[in-house]
Amino acid sequence: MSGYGSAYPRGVASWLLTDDHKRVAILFLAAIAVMLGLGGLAGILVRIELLTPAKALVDEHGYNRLFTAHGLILVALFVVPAIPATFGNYLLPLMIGARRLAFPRLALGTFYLYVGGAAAVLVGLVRGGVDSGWTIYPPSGESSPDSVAIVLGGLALLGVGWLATAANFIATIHRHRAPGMGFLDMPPFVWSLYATSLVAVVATLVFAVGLALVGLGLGGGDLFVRLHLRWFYAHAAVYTAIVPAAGVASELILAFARKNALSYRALVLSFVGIAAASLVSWGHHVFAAGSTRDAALFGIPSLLLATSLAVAALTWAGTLYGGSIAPRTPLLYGLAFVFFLFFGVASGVGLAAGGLGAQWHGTWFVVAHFHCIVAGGMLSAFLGALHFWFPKMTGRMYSERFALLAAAPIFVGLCLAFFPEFLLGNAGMPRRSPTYPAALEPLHVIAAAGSWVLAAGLAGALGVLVGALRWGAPAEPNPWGAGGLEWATSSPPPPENFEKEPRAAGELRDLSRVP
Amino acid sequence: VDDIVSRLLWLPGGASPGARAVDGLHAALFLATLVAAALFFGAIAALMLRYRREGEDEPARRIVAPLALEVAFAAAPLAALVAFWGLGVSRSAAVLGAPADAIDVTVVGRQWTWSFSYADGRSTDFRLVVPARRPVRLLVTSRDVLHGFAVPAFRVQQDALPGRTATTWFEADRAGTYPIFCTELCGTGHSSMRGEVLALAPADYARWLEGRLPPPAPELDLARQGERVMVTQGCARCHSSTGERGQGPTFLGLYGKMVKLERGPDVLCDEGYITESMMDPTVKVVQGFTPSMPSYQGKISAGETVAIIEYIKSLRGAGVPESIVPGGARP
Repeated sequence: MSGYGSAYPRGVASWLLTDDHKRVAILFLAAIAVMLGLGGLAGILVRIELLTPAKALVDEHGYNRLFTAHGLILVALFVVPAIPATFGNYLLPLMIGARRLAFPRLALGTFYLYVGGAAAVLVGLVRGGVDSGWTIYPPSGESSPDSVAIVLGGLALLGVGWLATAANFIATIHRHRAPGMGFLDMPPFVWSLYATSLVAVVATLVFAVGLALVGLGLGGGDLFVRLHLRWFYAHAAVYTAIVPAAGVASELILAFARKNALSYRALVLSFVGIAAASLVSWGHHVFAAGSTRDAALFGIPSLLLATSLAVAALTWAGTLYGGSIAPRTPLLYGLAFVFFLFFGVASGVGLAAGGLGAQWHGTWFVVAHFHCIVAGGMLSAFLGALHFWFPKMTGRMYSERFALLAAAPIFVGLCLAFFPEFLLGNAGMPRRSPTYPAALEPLHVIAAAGSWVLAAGLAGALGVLVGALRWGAPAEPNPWGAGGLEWATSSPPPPENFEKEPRAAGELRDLSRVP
Repeated sequence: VDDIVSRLLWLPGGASPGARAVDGLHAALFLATLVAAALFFGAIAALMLRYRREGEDEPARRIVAPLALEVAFAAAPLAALVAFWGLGVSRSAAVLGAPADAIDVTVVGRQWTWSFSYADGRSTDFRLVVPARRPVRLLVTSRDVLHGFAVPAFRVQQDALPGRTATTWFEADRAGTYPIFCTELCGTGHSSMRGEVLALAPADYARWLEGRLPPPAPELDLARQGERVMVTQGCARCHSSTGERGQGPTFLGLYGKMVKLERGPDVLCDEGYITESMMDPTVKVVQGFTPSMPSYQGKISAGETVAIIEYIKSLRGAGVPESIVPGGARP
């Protein structure tokens, strides 16, 4: 029912100056997809360089620049903003029965902060040749101070944008819920956005302190302290990306199992637990810099983090019990998220254990660990969300068969690209080195092949969705028979979201709608 | 069984008691992960099959977990994780606390060299010489930026921070050589900041302390000895023998050539210039290169200096000698 298309203003200016959260979200989606392409391309080049044990494509400096571009673009411009800025902005008001975000123009402003931040990061990378890795550890990270300053300025813009988004979400959740919707009636995805926004508000402030130390030349401070400050933010930032991904996975499982969550409160508490623990578990990034006692202490919040994730995972599996399960593409992406998250967390438990962490820290094992979480996990959740809410956002259905055909190589590619990297780490190969002992070549060849399969699958998925914009059948308001207020309005929704103000009955999540 | 697990996991042969302790923990985590994954994803697969949707109009169902199940969902993983954490802490104490009879070696990282200082005042670059079967405590620090000192064979890794000294330790089971890597990005030369631990049998170590080891193998001619010194002293990390550009100029065809310098008039590359460049490398820097090479004054013997010069002379042009070192003296 895309009849509402005519209710929207037309023209480029109406998009660029929109105060409609749905249009802001679509602007974000377009920009973020471009960044995923750029960062992914840099990743493929890194993998091609590593096909042979000797230098091949680029020299050491070129290699340092390549993986810096890959990491910075994908972490700062994809992983952290992807789900909140697109699906958060689009769905948060719809899911709580609101007509808009609390601060509509602020939402548009966050998009321009993103564009400005992205431009600065890209200029710093391309023109300035930043080669410090996405971690930008001082002082070697400051070897090209001007371009690093441009990148840090870009990150500051992104941080401000993220802070504004978080404040907008928090205000909207507190002030704009539909009548009858209490905090404990909110869908899991809304809870995940709420938890992650609270973390963002706290962590961004510390990030600002860290940036000030570097940017204002107060960097004479102790490197040890600065490493801690840096990871306090970066660790929380990465987990603020995982909590919304967990929220997405919850929605996918509820919708396609056509069931209530086995335990709603366990799910909500697990999100809060992940968010809270992410604020105190940064220390496991700096194990090798500190003492045994630090390692033991920082292991404790890491345990809480892993436990929270385990509670969520067990609740997801338990939710399938007694369900009416349709194994559609979005659900399979959701389960792929659970799959990679499992191995990401299991390896994280190893990294948080003193002796093993000392072996793996700084090797490819760490690369495998966080790619399981952000590439395998977070990217899968993003794709699941994209397919699940695509009919709602565009008013079109995509081809289920072709979507599955694209999903298969994405899953296989992720497995091939990242699981061999655990073994590279076991073998002791350091990160960020274009050369390596010849015995490790087979593992790199498998991983490179995986990156190509993954890229082919992503291109296929993009083709399926873009094709659906043109040839897809019109989408019903609730094509999946899912619960949730976003399905109680047309696809796409009218500018004011709902024809008449919706009312949420208690325990909304338990009222799965059946067509 | 240990060997099979090691091969399966691509672990370098564990060559120290610490490595065995860590590998036990590794095997425990690996097996626990596999068992948990089989149970968890097996359950998901079974539920997907058992509760597969039969018709589009199948109604939604409502099932709420009892409190006991919710508690179990939290308690079971927490118990497993706490148990593993306890095991990890007890093992890491074994790994990180050096025994009292350990000998001390100071490890200094700088762009892009590992230097080792021994109690008797001696020092080496790139190559850490230790006795086998004797605990060695490493005092790790950096002179410039963050570095990471790692010896995979011993499962040892310690970040090197400027202005701080951290300790770690290992004990080599057997005489042999074990690769050293830098595991923290430290600039352009990060990937060439490698070295090796040379663990010597106690008798050999005593001879090394007296300055008589490692003796060049007698069957080698001078140029081949030079190639071996080049590898063991780390020259090959920056200077290729193949014409490939590294951190420093290639040795191929260098001898007898006129060399353009960063500063000052051109210089003929002869025995004198090569020796000066080893002992005082920042004075006459070849055009296009940075003065990042450490001085080898006092670190290599006169005989080794001559051997290196002879090796460079052997690379004058055609007839590059076949490599004697596994993998060749190439970066």
